Amino acid sequence: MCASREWSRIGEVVETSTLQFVVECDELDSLPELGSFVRVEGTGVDAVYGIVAFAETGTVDPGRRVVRRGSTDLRDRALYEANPELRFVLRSLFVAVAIAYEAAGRLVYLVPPYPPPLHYSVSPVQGDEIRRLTATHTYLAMLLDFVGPIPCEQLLAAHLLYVYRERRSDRDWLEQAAQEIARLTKRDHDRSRRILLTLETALGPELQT
Amino acid sequence: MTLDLMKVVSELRRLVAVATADQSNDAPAFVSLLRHFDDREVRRRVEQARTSWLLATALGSYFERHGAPSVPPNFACVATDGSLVASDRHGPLTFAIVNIGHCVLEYGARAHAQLGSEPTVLWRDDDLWIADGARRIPVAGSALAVRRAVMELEAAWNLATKQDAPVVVLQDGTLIPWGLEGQLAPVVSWALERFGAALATFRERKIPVAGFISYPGSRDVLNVLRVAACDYPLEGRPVNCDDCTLRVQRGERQRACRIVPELTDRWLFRHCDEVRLEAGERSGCYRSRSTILQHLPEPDRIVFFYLHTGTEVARVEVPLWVAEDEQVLALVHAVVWDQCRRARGYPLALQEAHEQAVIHQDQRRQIESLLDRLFAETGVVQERSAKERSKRVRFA
Repeated sequence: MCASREWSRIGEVVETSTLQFVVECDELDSLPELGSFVRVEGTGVDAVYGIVAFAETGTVDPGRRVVRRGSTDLRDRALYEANPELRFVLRSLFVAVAIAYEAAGRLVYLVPPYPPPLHYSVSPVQGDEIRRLTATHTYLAMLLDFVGPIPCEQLLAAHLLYVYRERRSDRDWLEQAAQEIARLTKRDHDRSRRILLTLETALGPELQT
Repeated sequence: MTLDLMKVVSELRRLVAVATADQSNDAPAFVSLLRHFDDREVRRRVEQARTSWLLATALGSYFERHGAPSVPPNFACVATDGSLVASDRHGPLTFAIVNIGHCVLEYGARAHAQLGSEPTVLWRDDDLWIADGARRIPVAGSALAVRRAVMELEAAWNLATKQDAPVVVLQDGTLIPWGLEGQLAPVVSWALERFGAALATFRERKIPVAGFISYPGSRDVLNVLRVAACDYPLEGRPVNCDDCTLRVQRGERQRACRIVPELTDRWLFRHCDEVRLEAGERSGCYRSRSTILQHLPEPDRIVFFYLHTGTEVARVEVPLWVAEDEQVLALVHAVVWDQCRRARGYPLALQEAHEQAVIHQDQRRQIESLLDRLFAETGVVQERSAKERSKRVRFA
């Protein structure tokens, strides 16, 4: 369905597995939002879709330490302009958890049959493509089970907030998502309560506007 | 255990005691020598002296000091550095891989950086052998080091000539090919032909190149103080260390120069109040008496100055034509100081060029296994020396 579309690139895959892929951004600090969708061409499938589950900026060489460069006279953006090499010795990475793939024009909410290839370009997902991906809530179970550096309720809250905004404050979608999460965690009352409280805290101000 | 540390600790303790005993900078005789240093008299003595050490010849006065000039509004610093993997003689192939890392830093209105590396495999006859009539001399050791230095200069040249703004080229370490001293004449001539040609291209385009030596061990200026302290001229004789040494051995006299501590120029310019450099300041420029430099054209002969980088006193080497051009020398001084301030006492561009060039241990192992695979593809099992095998497969 989307094979002919031009996808804007934000980075490329530098680590890959069936469950998740790590992406190095083309530009320092040009990271996609936590919880947002990204896309990469797959092996044996048209595309693999992932949700940004973690991001960090650090040195390209893990053996090198970041040291202070600024002062009261040189800070923030001016500091980067005065040290042009920083854009080469630092890099921004993010982890995307695979939640679906597309094959023959059909979305399948499973981990991909093969990991996305290393060095393939990764693009942000936008507009109608987000609506298409979020037409069902089944993928939320995969996000709920994902074990990463960020607590899953934080990741879920970030994702729901992102989708809610991208779907132009779609309250119905949000309520169905909350019901789905409640259903998925019904056997673990404490967890269910923790997740729903986090969601309420994160989304409360949005819902009141 | 392969080394019994308990057996070496007492000797190491003595070594440290000897090394620290001479660090005092306030011995009255030495302080007096510095305070009454007579440039003209010392210069005359140096010209006539017969010494066994290297003596610095000042282009200006011996202990002049220069504050750091400002960098221009727009300028660039280009640094290159090379890393080398050479095959060992216990393996079946003779080759060397030179990885030249580069770093271009442009400052000013159009701040920009460029980092990268370019590897070259040397394996052809022309790469690895110097022809001397019917004889062939291997390019190894010092000759290979000069070959690498030339590749570093050539890479820097390609990058520096693309700059519109004033540019300074930095190299890691000395620009004096010390390793060629004592080498066979064909090796010296082969190496210096290439090295001299590389230096000349920079001169022709007026692009200054500088070698930066961190924690230098040289004593050329301190040795001049020995000449200044010598009592031979008081007896109407030129300084003659050979004669003095013989007389000391016969118990006829004591060395007058013993008041000068057995330390380095680095120590002199860092710790002696009379000549101490402040952060950013440089010393005057000095000619080196290295005999190998006599093979280079006069303008390309290497001179040096000391610079307080903020964390240490470093030695900066430049061709003579740079030192004689006030504006170009000021640019080198300003840019090197600016680079040191950006990276805590060591030029940032050199640090990044090194990071690009470095060949890590695991990459060296990968080269070995890649060669094994390439041999296997041809159906040939490569042979190694028994000694090398015994180190790989250690058995008891």
